[in-house]
Amino acid sequence: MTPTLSPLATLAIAALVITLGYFATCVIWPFKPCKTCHGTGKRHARIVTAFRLCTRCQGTGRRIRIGRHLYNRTTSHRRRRRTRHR
Amino acid sequence: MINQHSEHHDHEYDDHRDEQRAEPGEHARVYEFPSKREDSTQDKTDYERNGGTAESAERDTAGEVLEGELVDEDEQNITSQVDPPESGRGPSFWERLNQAERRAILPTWLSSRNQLSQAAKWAGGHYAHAAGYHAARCPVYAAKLASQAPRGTARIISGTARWVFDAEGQPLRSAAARREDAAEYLRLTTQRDARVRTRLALTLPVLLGGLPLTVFLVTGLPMLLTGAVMAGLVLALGAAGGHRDKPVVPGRAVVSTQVAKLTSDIVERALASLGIAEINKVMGPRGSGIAFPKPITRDGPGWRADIDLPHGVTVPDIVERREKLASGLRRPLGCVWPESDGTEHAGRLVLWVGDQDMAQAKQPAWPLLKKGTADLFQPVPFGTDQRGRPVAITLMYANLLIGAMPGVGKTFALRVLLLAAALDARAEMRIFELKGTGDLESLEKVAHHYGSGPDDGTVEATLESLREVYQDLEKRAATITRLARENKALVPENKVTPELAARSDLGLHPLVVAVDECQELFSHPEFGKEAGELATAIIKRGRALGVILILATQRPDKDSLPTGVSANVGIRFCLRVMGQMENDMVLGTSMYKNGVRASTFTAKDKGIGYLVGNADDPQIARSAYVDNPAADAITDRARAARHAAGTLSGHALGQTTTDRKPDTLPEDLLSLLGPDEDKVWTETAATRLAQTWPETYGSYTADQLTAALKPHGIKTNRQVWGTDEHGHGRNRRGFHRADLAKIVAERNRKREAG
Ligand SMILES: [Zn+2]
Repeated sequence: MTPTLSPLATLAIAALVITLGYFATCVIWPFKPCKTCHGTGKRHARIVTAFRLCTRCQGTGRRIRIGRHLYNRTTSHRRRRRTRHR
Repeated sequence: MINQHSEHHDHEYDDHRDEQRAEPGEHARVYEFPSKREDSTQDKTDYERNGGTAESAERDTAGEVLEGELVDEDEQNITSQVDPPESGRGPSFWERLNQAERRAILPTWLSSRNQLSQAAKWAGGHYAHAAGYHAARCPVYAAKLASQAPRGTARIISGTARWVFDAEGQPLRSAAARREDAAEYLRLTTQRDARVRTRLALTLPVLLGGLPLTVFLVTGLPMLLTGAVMAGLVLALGAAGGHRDKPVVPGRAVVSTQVAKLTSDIVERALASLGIAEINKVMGPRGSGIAFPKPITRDGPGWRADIDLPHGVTVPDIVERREKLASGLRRPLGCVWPESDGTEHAGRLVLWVGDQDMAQAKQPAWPLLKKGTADLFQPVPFGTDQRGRPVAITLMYANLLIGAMPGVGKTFALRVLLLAAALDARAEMRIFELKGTGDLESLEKVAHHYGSGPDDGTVEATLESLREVYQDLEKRAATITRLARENKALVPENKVTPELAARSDLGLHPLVVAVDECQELFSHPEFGKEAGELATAIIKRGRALGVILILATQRPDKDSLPTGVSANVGIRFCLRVMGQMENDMVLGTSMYKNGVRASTFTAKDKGIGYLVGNADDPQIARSAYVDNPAADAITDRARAARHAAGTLSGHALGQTTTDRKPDTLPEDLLSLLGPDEDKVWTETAATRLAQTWPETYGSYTADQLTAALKPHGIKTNRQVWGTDEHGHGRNRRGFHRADLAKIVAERNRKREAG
C-alpha cells in the first residue's frame, strides 16, 4: 500500500507546496525582473557605451508575474462585469 | 378691425394729444380721450382759445360738474373719514420710551443671591450625584476593563507592527500591482523600505532595551506599588481594547428629559385643531395667519408664547378647550397653561407650556419647613405656580375659602397656611376639623381651641368658639375705636397694625379661625343657621380687626356655604371641582365664564388649584407639600416659639374648653319661670338668668339672650304685657312659656332618641 501510494502523495504534496509558494510569491512580489534586460531596464547596443530602454518593461526592469497577471485579468474582468450589472 | 386699430392708434398717440389738437378739425376726436378729463379746466381754456362750438363746451362742463360732485371734499370728510391720518398721531418717541419695559441686565439667577446660591447648590448636587453613581459602579468598570486587556494588548502590538512595516501603504502598492504599473510599484516599495528602516531603528531599541528595563524596575518596586502599576497597565490595556458600541461606562448618572422646543408652527397647528371657526379662517389659505407679538421664549421650566388671537376670539374660548389644545400640542394636559395677559386686550393669549406635568414637576421645599418664622402681616409662603415661581398669601386683612372635591389635597393646602400661621407666635389659633380624620392633629399643640370629629359635640364646640370670636370682635372694635380717639396715628386706617398686634395688653393679636369641612357646620340642622350668621359677621367685620377666618369645604353649594360667606371672602382657592356651579361658588360669580375653571383639573392634580383674590389676576397655584412628620416638627418649633413668647393658651395648655357642658339655655330658662307665668319679658329673663348662673349667663343682656335663643327656634319677638320696675303696665319684647315648653319637650325627645 504505502510504497505504491507514497510517490503519488509526495508528488501531490510537492505540487501543493509549489502552488502555494507561487501564490505567496505573486502576492508578496507581484513583479519579477525582466528577462529581456535582466532587470536593468536597458538594452545595450553593440557599441559598448550606447544603450536604449528595454521595450518589454518600458525601462523599469520589472515584469508582472504571470500568476499575478492572470489574477488581475480575472478580478478586473469580474469587477468590470459587476459594475456593468449594477 | 379698422375701429380697433384706430383706437389702438389713439392710445399710442395719447402723449401727443396737444399736437393733435392743434390740427384744425381734429379736436372733437381728441376731446374724447378718457385721460383728458384730469386736466379739463386747462383743456377748456385751450378749447375756447381754439374757438370750439358752444355745445361741445357744454358737454365738457356737464361732465365736469358730475365728477366734481363725486369728489366733493367737504362731503367726504363728513361721511366716511373714520380713521385718522397715518402720520402725526399716536404716542411720541418720548412717550414710547417712557413706557418701554427695561429688561434685566443680568438674568435673575445671576443677579439674585438666593437664586445664585440655588443654582450653585443644584450644580454641586448634580456633580456629587454623578460621582457617587460612578463610584458605586467602579468594580464593574474595572472588571470590564480587565476582560478587555488581552484584546487591547493584541491591538497595540498589531498597531505597532502595522506602523513599523508601513501597512498603510499596502493598498497603494497592491493597486499598482493590479494596474501592472511596474514604475509606480518600484517607487512605492522603495518608499516602504526607507520607512521600515527608520521605524525599525526607532522601535527596536525600545523593544530590546526599554521594555526589559521597565520590567526590571517595576519588579524591583515594593509589592504594593508593583501591584498598582500592573493594575494600571491592565486597565490601560483594557481601555485600548474597548468596543466602540459597548462602552465600559454604559449609562449616564443623570438622565435629562428631552423636551421638544415650542415653535410657532406647533402652536398654530394646535390652535387650528381647536375647531374655532375664526381661527380656522385666518389659518386658511387666504387668511392672515396667527400673530405672535413677541418671540417664543424660555420662561422658567417651560416655553412661553404670546399670541394675538384672531378678532372675535377671546382667551376663555381657548381655556375651555385646554384639553384639545394639549392634544394639539402633543403634550400632557398638566403642561399646557393658557392664560390671559391682564395688561393686554382680551384676545392676547399667553400660552405657557411646561417641560413637565405640573403635578409631577419637582416642587421646591416649603421655605418654612426647616427654619424661620412667619409674620401674618406679610405674605406667607403657600406653594408655587405652574412655572415654579413661589406663591405667597397675605392672610392678614383677608379671609380664605378653600373648595375642592374630596381627596385632591384640600386639607393639605389648608394645613400649609395654618402651619404658617402657627409660626407667627402672636396668632391665636382656633382649629376645627369636622371630618374627624385628624389631618390637622399636628396643630393641636399650638391651638387655643381645637376640635376634631364629625359629631354634634365638635360642631357645637365650633359654634361656641365662633360665638366667642364674635364677642371678641366687639371688644376689638371697641379697643380700636378707643385707640383711634386717643391717638389717631396709632390706627391710621382703623385697622389693626403690626405694632398693635404685638401689644399683649390690647388683645388685638391675630386670631385665626379655621374650619375644615365647614359644610358640616353650616348645614347642621340645629347650629347651621347661627354658625352661618356668625361666620358672615366675622368675615365682614373681622378683616380690619385682625380676625382671619379660613374655611374649607368639599361641598360648595347653597346649603353648605351661606351666601354671605361665599360673597364676602377675599381669597379663594379652588382645587378640582365637578362643575361650573361649584367653581363659581368657591371662586366667585362668572369665574367659570371668564375661563377660570377648576373643573379642568384632573384627579392627579393634587394640591393644584386656582387662587383668586391673592394677586390682580387669578393664578394657578400648587400648594406646598408638607407631610405629617414635617408638620409635627414645624408645630414643635411653633410651640417652642410660643412658649418663649408666652402666647400659649387654651387647648394648647391643656385647658379643655371644647368639652364645655352642652347648651342648656331652654331648660335653664324654663326652670326659672314660675308655674303660673305664661309670658315673660326678655329683659326679666336675662336678669334672672344672670342672677342664678352668674358664671354662665352673667354677661347676658336682653339682646344677647334674644340672639342666643334664636337658634333654638324660640320666638322672642312676641309682645308681652307686663309690669315694669315702676309698676307701670306696658308691652315689651318677650316670649311665651308654651313656646319654650314645646322646644324643651322636643329637645328631650331628641336626646332620648339619639
Ligand atoms: Zn526589460
